[in-house]
Amino acid sequence: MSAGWAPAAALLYQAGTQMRYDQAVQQFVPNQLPEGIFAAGKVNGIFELEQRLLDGKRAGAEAARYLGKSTADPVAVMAHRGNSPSHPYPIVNHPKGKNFVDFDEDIQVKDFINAAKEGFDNIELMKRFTTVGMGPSQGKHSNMNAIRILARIRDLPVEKIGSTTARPFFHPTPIGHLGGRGFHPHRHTAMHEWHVKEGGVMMEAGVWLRPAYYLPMGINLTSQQAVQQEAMAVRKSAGMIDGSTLGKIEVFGKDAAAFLERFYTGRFASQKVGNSRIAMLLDEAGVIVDDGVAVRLDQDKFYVSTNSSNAATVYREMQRNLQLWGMQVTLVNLTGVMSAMTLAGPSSRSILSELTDLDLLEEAFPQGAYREALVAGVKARVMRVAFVSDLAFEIHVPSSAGLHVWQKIMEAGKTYGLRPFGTDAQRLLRLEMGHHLISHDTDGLTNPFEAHAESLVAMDKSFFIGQRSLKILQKKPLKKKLVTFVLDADFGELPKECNLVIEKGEIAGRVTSISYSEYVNRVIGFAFVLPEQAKAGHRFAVRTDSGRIEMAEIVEHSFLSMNQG
Amino acid sequence: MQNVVLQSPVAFAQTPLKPEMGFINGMAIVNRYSDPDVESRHAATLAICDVSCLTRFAIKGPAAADSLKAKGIELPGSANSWSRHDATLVMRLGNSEFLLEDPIGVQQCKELTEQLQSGDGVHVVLRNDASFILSGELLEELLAQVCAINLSGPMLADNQLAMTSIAGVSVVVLRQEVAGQPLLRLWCDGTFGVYFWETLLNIIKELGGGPVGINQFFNSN
Repeated sequence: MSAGWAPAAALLYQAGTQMRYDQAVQQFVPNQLPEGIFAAGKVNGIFELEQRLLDGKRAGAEAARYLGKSTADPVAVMAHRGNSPSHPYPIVNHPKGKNFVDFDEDIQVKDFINAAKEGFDNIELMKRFTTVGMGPSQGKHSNMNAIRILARIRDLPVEKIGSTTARPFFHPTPIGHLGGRGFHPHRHTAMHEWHVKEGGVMMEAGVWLRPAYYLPMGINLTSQQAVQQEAMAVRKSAGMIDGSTLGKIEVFGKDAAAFLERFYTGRFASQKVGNSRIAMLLDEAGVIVDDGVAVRLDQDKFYVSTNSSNAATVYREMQRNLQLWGMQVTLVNLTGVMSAMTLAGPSSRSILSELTDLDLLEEAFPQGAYREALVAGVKARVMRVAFVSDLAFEIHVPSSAGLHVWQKIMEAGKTYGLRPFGTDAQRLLRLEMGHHLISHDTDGLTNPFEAHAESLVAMDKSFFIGQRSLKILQKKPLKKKLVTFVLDADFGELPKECNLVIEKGEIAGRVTSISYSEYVNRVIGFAFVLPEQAKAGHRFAVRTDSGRIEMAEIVEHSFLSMNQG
Repeated sequence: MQNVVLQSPVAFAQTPLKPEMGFINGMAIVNRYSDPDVESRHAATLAICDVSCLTRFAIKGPAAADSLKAKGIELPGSANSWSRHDATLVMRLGNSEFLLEDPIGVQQCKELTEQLQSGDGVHVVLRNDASFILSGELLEELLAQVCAINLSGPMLADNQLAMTSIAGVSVVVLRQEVAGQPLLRLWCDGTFGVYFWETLLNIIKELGGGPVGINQFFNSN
């Protein structure tokens, strides 16, 4: 496919230039330039050096004349003569190989043919279906050939296909993309070494490497069995997960509380030192973007956590809004500085008490409380949390001591049957607890009213991000509602995430999370349903991949009470 | 009180090299990877050394500069520059943000940690840097492959420091001379330390260099 030129016409397109396809040079050239726009060189279909120099003079003179600054004679430029510099169809078929068209996205000719068969036979639709031109080079090497291929598939002249919309910003392809080394940075937690040694099956979570589950040497388990065992350990005794990937931001200064009041939906001005509150972030449209925990360390100091995948985004948004609002606040991103681990389950209190003098009893350290103490000899920030279990402690320590503390807790927990658990078990455990995951159970349109998060929104505050949109949304009927459900015990085919909820033959929603829980001994999940369906006891249908209909019933939030054992 | 062993952010990548370990400032750190002659050759050709164990103190906020001055610390005059206060490296990362680092045996950062606390307009910042020394005559060749900015030119002259991207990771970088030999100091978020070490070491080995332990530049106990 390397047999032609694709002159950089994006700026001309953006200026509103009408282009035409010139068969003599097999490329699009300007047909009519907008007033005050001038083009020269290969983009005009002029390839010979002498003529290009002349074309530059011509365009320069025209621009000067346009500005009333030149009376130079017009310069004549000869159109291209001889063979076309570009091939009309520079795709050479390799019957036994792969016919790549877009090297960024590994798109082959067959992908275009399939797209056209599916009905995406317009260049704009084909672009979105195949993702041609959406990689690092932004179509600079592939767009023109995509147009040629589509023209061939549809048996139309190239000019009838047209081109995709060129949007700002336009910038050249960095030379490093073509010839330099490719770098793919990833982050390790301080406990990475331990996870690998203990059979952690590592997965990429954004830029982080995290154990999805553990398959220790010498123990024969399927991944599913491992996940269920890890989750069961949390329910019956104790489990611990490396949560170092959580975003961790210190918000410090005399306006710290006022800043959080504006940034998040909840109230923080009245929050007591040593307590934590859920911090939900919306965008301007009122869509849920993130949820974390805000701990008040002091009158003017908060320690805020974010979802692992949102740490950089939330920090950047905080910085941006801080500039806009001009408040006296200092932000420090401690995401990589602090290791975090969650020790969860009925034995977690006993295990932790072996490593700290902190009073961990319910009265002294209730749900939502925050304490500072030495844990295994290391100054730690400890929080009572309830994401995966009613009794759980989130322990934050400096990363250089993360491995030490983790190992000490694992040692102390040995006699209690403490097990490490990975992200797969974490997802199951939070599902059993009835906690949704932002960006997993919610999407780019979900507002708090649709996700049972009204209690986290203080609408009567003077301002918070997204409040204006929520005031509008509040007056409108809901379009969907997130519910917890249990699948009928005698189901035939296990539905998957994104399988559709069907009501009277119409799409009424979708499954957002679904998993078998050994503890509950049922398949449980989250789904979006129509608001009028969202009542405990309501039964709804889910259409599986094969087209089967499986029935499910909406239940109250926590599944733990369904445990028969 | 438990005996706490602090871990270098790069430790996971270094263990397979079976290095000789030592302890500095409570952190397990690599003394050397191989024979001193080999390490000296590496240091002269192209080498990477993990110095994450050095003690640091960081502070930011509108009153940060005044707080340090009140403790008698001489500060660089402008942002993105560095100076020495006695043996302590003082980096001014912004108008109101500072990072200090002690060489082995100096207690300045420890004292500041004990004396200065967050307060009005001052925020003492926890750090977890993976910190490196890059040395050798092929330094420029390495940098050309991992950094889009030319760090060999005036950018780092006259005690300037740069915040840029090397191998896709945000770093603070400055140039120093030790015994007439130019070397670079780098600091990055510790959680990128393993990736950063592995990525640079692969290229360093391709160019004929290798890793060196901290004994190449300091003496540990």
